[in-house]
Amino acid sequence: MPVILGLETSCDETAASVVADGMEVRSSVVSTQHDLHERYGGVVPEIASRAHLERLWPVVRAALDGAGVTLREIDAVAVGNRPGLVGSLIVGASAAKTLAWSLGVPLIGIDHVEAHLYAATLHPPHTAASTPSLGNPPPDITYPALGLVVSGGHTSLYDVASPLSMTLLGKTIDDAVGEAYDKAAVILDAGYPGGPNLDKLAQQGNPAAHKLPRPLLGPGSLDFSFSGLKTALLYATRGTPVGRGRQARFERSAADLTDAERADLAASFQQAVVDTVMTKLKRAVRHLSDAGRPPRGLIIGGGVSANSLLRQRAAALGDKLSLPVHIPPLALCVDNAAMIAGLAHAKLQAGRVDDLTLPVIATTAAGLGPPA
Amino acid sequence: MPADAPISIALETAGRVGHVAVGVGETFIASRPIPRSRRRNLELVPTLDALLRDHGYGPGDIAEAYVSLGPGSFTGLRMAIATAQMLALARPELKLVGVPTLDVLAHQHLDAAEHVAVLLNIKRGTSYCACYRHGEPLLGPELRALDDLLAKAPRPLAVVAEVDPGLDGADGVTWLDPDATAPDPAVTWRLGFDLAQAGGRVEADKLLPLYIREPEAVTLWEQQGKA
Repeated sequence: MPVILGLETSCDETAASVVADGMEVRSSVVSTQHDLHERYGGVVPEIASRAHLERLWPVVRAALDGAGVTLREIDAVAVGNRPGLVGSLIVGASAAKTLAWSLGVPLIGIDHVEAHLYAATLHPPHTAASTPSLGNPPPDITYPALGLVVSGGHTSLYDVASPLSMTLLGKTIDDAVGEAYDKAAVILDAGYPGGPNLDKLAQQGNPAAHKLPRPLLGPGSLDFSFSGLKTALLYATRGTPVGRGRQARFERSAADLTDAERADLAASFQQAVVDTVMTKLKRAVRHLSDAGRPPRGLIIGGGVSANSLLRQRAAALGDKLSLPVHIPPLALCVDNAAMIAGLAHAKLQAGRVDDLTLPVIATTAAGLGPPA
Repeated sequence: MPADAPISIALETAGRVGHVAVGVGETFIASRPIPRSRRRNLELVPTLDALLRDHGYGPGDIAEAYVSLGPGSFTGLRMAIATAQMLALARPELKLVGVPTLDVLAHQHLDAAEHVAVLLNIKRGTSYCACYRHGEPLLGPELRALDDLLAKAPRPLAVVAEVDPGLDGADGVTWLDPDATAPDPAVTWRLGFDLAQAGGRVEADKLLPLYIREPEAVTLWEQQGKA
């Protein structure tokens, strides 16, 4: 039963985890930097890099202690080395290389986006209420599957042949869905991080109160676009602007609205986003079926997979299409290192390990890797 | 040297070209540049591995690690410090020592003049600087206005600065070649060794770069907020 230490520093979460046998999460420690970036309304790369280095030691230490293992019991070290903020990735990659080298164990670089699609495979970290080695094991995923990654940096659909082999079907051409949520939260003064706050606000509103667009990009397209929807929300919130660009002046701001009005706008926005995502999922299932590769399951990962409406609607869609839906528990939706260590197990079993020159890469298109 | 003399390394990544170095006991052995490429900082561990192998050592032999703290290349410094921290995690008995980069540069130029001023991170008329006499600090280290440094630093004064600080031409002041700001890994190792001998040791989670200033984005954001 290989025990893998995973590190994740691609954006604004410093994370470390110990995973056994590719599934059993012995520990998963995530130190979020939301408090540091909140006042800027988004992640400031240099602040993120500094914070990763400050938090690296205590986070790795806590992951080892939480798992009850010593470094001598670690069989491999994995790190998310792509895609992400380069300065942030470098901190994790440097640490992982040093540990692998010092311990004389394999180093494994992991694509962060692919790892999100592995998160649903993991047995959640045990709690006092659960049996340590069992937790609530998820059902086995049957491949091929349709994969959807929805996060602050990614919105993509994949034809997933196995955890190590996936083909990109479509992606956002502008904002990622999480990014759209963050911007919508700014428009509605919902605070940072936008996703969870907007979700909470939306639950108090009427999703039919405003008719916002569902951007589908033409018949059959599997790509996403959320910039127009975001603009529609802006106008619905503040009124039609007078003037253009920086000179534009609006009739009102979110501060002029009642809480109920803001909740209605949030609910309408969320409904439009989730309607759009569901339409794309249905299209992708049809596309794969027409291509002779009908998916045998639906896998969803990424921070936005924690969204309450998305989870409900995905489950309903799975029932309708008779497809099992695999969504990670909430703790494993956000950026975490358990998904890194878990996917690394599959790579280790396949003999796909890296040497100490492992690079960090800012942008990648998952699906370019060799077949499993 | 004794067979059981401790193996020590130095990680010098504050400058444009990073270096790793190794010593045994009180003897500096060798250094090696980290290959310069777009991803040069990611070559630190392979370069260190190769250097140690060349001398018959491995990571398990390292007893002490001396790390240049900057200011300098943020990415390079973070890379080296993450490496040092994880070496210490893998080997809790390993002694970590932080070496101020100002001191490294001052000791490289002891012969340049009776007094040497080292100025790093020059921005908006200020720099992180220190003034030394025969290697002993007289002023700083601190963030100080260039005019103030010029007024207070004794003469004759050799100035080590990456960009022309505008002090050259002042009476008794000489600006050394900009290449003088490239830290010498042998000096980093020597200062680290001396600090270690004097009991200098830093806990791994306290080993962090000297940033000196807020990130540029924060400064700009604050300026916009005031505007």
